[in-house]
Amino acid sequence: MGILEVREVEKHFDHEPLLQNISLAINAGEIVCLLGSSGSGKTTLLRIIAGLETPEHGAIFFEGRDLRATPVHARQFGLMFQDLALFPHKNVFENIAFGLRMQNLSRVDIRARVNAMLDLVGLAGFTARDVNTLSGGEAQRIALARSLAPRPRLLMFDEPLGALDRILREQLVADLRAILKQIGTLRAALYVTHDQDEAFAIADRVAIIHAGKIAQIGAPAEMYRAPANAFVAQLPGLTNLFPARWREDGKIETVFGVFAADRKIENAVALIRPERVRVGASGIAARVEECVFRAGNYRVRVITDAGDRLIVESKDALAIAERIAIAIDAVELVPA
Amino acid sequence: MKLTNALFLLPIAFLAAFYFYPLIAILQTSFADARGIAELFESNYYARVLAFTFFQAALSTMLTLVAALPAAFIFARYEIRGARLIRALTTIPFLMPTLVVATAFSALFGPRGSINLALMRAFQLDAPPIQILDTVWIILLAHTFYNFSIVLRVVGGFWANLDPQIENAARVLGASRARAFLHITLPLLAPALIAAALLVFIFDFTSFGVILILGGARLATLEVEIYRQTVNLFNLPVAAILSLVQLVCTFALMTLYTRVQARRARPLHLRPQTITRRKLQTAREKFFVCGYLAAMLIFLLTPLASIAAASFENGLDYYAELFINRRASITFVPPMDAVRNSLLFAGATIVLAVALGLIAAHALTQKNRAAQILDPIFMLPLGTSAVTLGFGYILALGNLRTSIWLVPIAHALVAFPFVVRALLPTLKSIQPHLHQAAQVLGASPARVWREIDLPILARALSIGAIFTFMISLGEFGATALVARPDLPTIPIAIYRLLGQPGLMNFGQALALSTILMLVSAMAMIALERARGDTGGEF
Repeated sequence: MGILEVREVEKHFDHEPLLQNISLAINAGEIVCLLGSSGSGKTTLLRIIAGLETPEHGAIFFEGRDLRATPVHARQFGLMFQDLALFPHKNVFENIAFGLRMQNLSRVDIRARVNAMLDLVGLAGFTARDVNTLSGGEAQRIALARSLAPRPRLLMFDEPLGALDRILREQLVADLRAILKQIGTLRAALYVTHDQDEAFAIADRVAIIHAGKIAQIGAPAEMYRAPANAFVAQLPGLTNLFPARWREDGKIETVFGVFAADRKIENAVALIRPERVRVGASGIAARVEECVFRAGNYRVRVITDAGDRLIVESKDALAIAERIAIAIDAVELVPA
Repeated sequence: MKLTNALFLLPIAFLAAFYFYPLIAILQTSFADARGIAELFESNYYARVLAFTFFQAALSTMLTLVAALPAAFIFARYEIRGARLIRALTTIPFLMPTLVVATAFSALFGPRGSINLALMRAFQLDAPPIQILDTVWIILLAHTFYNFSIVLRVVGGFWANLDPQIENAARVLGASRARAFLHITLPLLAPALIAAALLVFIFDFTSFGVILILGGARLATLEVEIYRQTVNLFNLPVAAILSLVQLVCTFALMTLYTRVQARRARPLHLRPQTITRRKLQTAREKFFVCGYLAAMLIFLLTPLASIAAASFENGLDYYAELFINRRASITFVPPMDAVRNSLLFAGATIVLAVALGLIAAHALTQKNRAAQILDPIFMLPLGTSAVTLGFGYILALGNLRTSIWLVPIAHALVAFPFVVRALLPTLKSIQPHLHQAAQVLGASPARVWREIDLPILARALSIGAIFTFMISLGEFGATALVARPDLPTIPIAIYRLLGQPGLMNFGQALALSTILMLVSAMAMIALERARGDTGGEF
């Protein structure tokens, strides 16, 4: 039983199914990421949980209570919008104080809480600033402070880092995870993004949404170790996917030859992990197309004489157009 | 039905009761009584009225264009010190109530006017040498004075952003200065020129106060004729059919104007104004530009200054008289009461127009078909003359006719489209995410409205309110027909005083006009402040 449960939610947009029978549970203290491309319905799911949209079917439960009759403003959730939606007519203090004023807290309490939030996001002393003069990173932190101030039970993020440049983004992702984990009252956080690096960096578990369905949900490492299907496999960079045919003798036939099968799956593709390919003296003849240094190794794209492209790893740099031979140690079957 | 949807019905109901219903009454009266139509064709009098209406409007428009185009050119192409202030001064006449303008021109050019008095004193004359009161000339002059700033703003604004390199290219290709202007600049300016001309024409076509007061007994436009047939002759069938003609004409003109406005978006390479302007160079340039600007300011400001000056001719006598209710007084009340009445009516109008405008603007931001249909409907009152509206009230509203609420209702109807237009851009600019963010943070829908929409709208709301105040304060056409005799507004009191013989009555009209001018000027300053740098659009 999760603290937040999404049960069999369905939503159409312009008569096209956007979310199909989505069920999802989030445990207490967990940060879950919804990862998907634009138009996959991930933002809509977030808005449904917040109460900004109503599903045609299904319901949202929080701590076991059905939220269907609870309007947006009574859910005590926090939501950080992609465009941050800072109130342009209020200054930094008034923006952060807004949710606290809605709770009818005393002036003294509000002031103390706002200052604590500004400390938390590292912008102490920004109280009187006009929000229209903030830089992208500052605005982002103020929006986070505003979402956190009223002590939401669940905090949701809709691509909050989308507008920022990469270095700032990586910094903020790390900060965000640290901040989320140190808030005592926060029961869970839900984070929507299309960026898998961001998702894998911030989340305890990642839910991949594809074509209105959850393709896989699990820890980032799990996604890499056992992708549920070809789509999921591609996200962390497992792009060596080739048609595979299951043979009567329990082996797999691919363009690169016949391999032993780890399991039997109908309608599957063969996944070749780069680390299972050796570059050596003998094997399949190929030519180097591209060679990029990454994290201690070289990632090399090669093309075989038969015309198939493959990503392999190499300890040494290889020259473009160099002729090499590759040997594939093993393949895995992944559902198509 | 949701509460908000029910709320949207309020402006619709208001328009139905106080706009469409009176118009339908005019239609019914026009066709129910055949005498009206028969009388219309009996003599060629009404044809002459219609012809004069078009004739004076066309002539006034042309005169306004000729007078204001050089100003548009100067402000567009030259860097002038104090251009902002000079341009602000030129808008004063347009924002003045018609009755003030009419009084100003009779104070300046009338037999007792300052020009005639000065000429008589200077040349030892026995009779006033300038006799243009009650002629078409003074009407043309007043209309030019009134609409000058429309041409300046609409054409000048467009001209300022036009790339001067286009004209230079024509010059290099061998066109003389005149030919380059005629074949290049003028065609490019045409859309703005046509839009400005149409707008001025519409204002001149429906002009009422100026013609009623300055045109004398012989000259009448449609608008004046409707008023006379209703009030003086009580010939309702004829008034109704004339109103119908007026309605058809103004709607046709408004439709044309909207079309032109829509087509004005021509793919031109517009330049920032700092690039297109240059300094005055030769002595000749300086002489002509400064001379023109001085003449312009004299033309636009002396009529108003002359009212104020004339009102103090006998010290404070005219003002003191305003507080006294003479037995023979034609206002039945001390004229000063009119000031109180006007302020109370304006207050009520602001409440009505701003509340209805706010609801209507909100309805228009909804993304549904109803909003698309309602948009032009909410603008319809713009295309209806005030006298027609007042006449419709007399026909349609039965016992309500003597209600004191009729004046603020009529004023609110006139101001309503302006309020909607003032609010709509700001309302549309509020991102839905702001509402949702506030909701998620715990604000109920009512609280979201109070905390987010209202503060963001505050500036636009105050602009709408001040505009409404100015409209209500100066409104004359509809008020002349629906105001109760014992509750005159300032313009009504001025009109009655002008219609009476004697220096004391004229002096009081001057004093009341000065008061009205002062209050309008204060509202104008408030409007400028509220507007800030956003600039004005007609």
